[in-house]
Amino acid sequence: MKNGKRALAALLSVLLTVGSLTACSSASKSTASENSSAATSTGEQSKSEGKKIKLSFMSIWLPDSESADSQAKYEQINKFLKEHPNVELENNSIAHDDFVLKIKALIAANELPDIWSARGDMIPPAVDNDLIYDSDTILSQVNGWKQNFSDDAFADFRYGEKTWAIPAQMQGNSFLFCNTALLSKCGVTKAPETWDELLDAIAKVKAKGLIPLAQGNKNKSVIGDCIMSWLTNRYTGTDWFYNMKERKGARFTNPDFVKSLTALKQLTDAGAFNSDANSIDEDMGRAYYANGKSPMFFSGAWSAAWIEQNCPQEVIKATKIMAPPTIKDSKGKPNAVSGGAGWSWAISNQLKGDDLKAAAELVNSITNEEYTKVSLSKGYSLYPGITPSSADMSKLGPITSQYMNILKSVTFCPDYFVLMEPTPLETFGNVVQEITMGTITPEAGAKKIDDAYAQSVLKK
Amino acid sequence: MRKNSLGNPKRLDYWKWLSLPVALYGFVVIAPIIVGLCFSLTSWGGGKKIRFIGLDNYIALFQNFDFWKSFLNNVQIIVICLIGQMLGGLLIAILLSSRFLRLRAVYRFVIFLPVVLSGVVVGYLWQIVYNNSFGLLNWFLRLIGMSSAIRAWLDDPNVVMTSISMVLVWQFIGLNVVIFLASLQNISPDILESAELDGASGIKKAIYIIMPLMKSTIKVATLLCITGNMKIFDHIWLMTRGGPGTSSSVLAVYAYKVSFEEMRFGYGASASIGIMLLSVVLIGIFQLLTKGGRKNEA
Repeated sequence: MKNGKRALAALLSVLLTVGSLTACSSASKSTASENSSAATSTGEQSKSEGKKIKLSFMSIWLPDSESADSQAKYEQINKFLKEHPNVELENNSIAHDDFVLKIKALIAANELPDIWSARGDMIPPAVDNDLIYDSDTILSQVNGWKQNFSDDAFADFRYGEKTWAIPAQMQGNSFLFCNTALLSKCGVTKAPETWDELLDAIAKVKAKGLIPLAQGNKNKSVIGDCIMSWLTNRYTGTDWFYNMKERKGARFTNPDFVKSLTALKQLTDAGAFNSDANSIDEDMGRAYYANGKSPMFFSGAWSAAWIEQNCPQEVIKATKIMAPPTIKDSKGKPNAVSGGAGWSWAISNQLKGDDLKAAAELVNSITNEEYTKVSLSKGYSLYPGITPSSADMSKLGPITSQYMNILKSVTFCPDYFVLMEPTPLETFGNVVQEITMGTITPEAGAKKIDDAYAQSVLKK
Repeated sequence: MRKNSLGNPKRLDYWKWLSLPVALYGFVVIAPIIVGLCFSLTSWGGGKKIRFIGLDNYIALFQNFDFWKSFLNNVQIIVICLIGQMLGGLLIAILLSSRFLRLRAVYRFVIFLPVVLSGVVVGYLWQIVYNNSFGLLNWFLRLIGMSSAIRAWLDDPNVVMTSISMVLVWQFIGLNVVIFLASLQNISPDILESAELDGASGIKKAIYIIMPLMKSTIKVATLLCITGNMKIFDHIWLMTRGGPGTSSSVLAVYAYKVSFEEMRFGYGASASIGIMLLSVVLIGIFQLLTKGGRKNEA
């Protein structure tokens, strides 16, 4: 009898332990699913009883950040919440790199928040798994909202026949930042406008013992994106990119694409980059520019504010932003810079009725004309909407003002790091690094990217 | 009754007392492997759609150049660490156990300190040491007039793996020193004394007396070194992210990238199972080699 009791006790203890352990994992699942279902059910309640709406929110913009873009967004969000006391926001925003990792896991686990910041490459998996609303459904929740955006603002979020999110920003990702005073000291009298002028400037700067182009390409996107997106577009044109993306026959072994890799090799052979370019991040790369060790670097709109905040006055005064150089006989537009919205606001298709309306109105508050004005008042210029004619630009810094001016004279071309499928993109980034190290030829590099493309995209 | 179950346990008692740890082990070790194995047979890219594709992931993995290159990088790290950590550790341990050494505790503390640091901290510190323009290493080389040896230690594909391996040797040599010291202290002074009386001293004593007596400890330390370096990730992720290109990619970095950056969770699961199998093979080879040694001894 006692033996039987002991056996029963042992069995129960095992079951209890395993049960409690499994409960841990299912508990977190149920909490998350409760959250999403809570939003839906409270929405139904709010329809009938006017009760609270609870929305989960996750983005790369942190509420306690001192950056102007975060401050502008949260000023608008807080205002919205004040005006809508029935809406409760559960904010789980985290830093950019962590966010990218976490949101991919959440897409995989089907546990996305109600409102989340989505990069162009995150849209296809979310759509394939039927997790988000298309742009038109979201825009239809607020009258006149659509008119705030230019047509190309949605280009990064097109998948299939529809667009799938609301642009969160608009920015150019590939400009040449020049310290004209330092260039003059090297014998370069004007900032380079053409490819030949760029090569000439590189040779002269190199001869003075300085770094011609200071880049920090550890994460592969600084050279891969800020240089290669426009450089490739010059040779292949935009149609080639979309033919490749939409699997309409364009391949990376195309001679024009190989030419763009050859052009990168030309820069490498000319000694354009710092020798530690692939092991340092962008901030460390730009530090060479700030310290006067380099007169040029390629970067995006975000570097305008960075220069204003981190460079000495003489560097700020001497800085000139240039569109990337033109190339003879190019197929792409000569004034194209890579860019577009890049990041957007996606809304879960689990939200219905009042919940969906509340979520759309919240997103509206951080993308509408009022948000543009708040952004400009804080000196931030990457808002997603059309700049209103009455906008006050006086708060913008000198480099940001230059950026706003140059933006009027350029057109956007596809950004590889926003639009390309992840597997060939990873190989593309690797090949770019290998070319800058001189360990692969452009032809072999193109073949390698094409193999990854064929294996992971065409075979899908 | 008590005597029966503890002093003279029956078959059922074994099952009873083993059930809890076996269940725990099954839950935290066996179950994830089985789940991983199941996912590795699918083309799962996240979400609701899971398609069974049989062994396609394993065929693709077997044919993937980057996977094998990453494995070779792991092997290179293991070889360098075996030489650096084992030989260096043994040498330092023997020196520390010397009668003539003073401030022994201080040396032990200094050598062991890096072991307790996180891989992230170590990776960040060494990224600064290896920095091309303001790094400590290049500054030191310049100071001693060896400017020709200056290079971008983490950018040159020919040296990047050696650079990373040296960091691992530096960090974990202290662990081997402590393991070897403990083993050395277990050697009976009588044996050492009689060896000295027989004329063995210095290197001879180390090679013919100390080393054979430490054989099982060296074996354990070697196993720890192999398994530890097969799953190395954080140092490399911090210092190079597997670059430039794929020059410093290792198996864990490869599996992480295909799973979380490329969102190919099915293929990533097959890469993880591949890592496990390769680790088992390496350990198996090591066991075979050491078993052979024992037979010869006999």
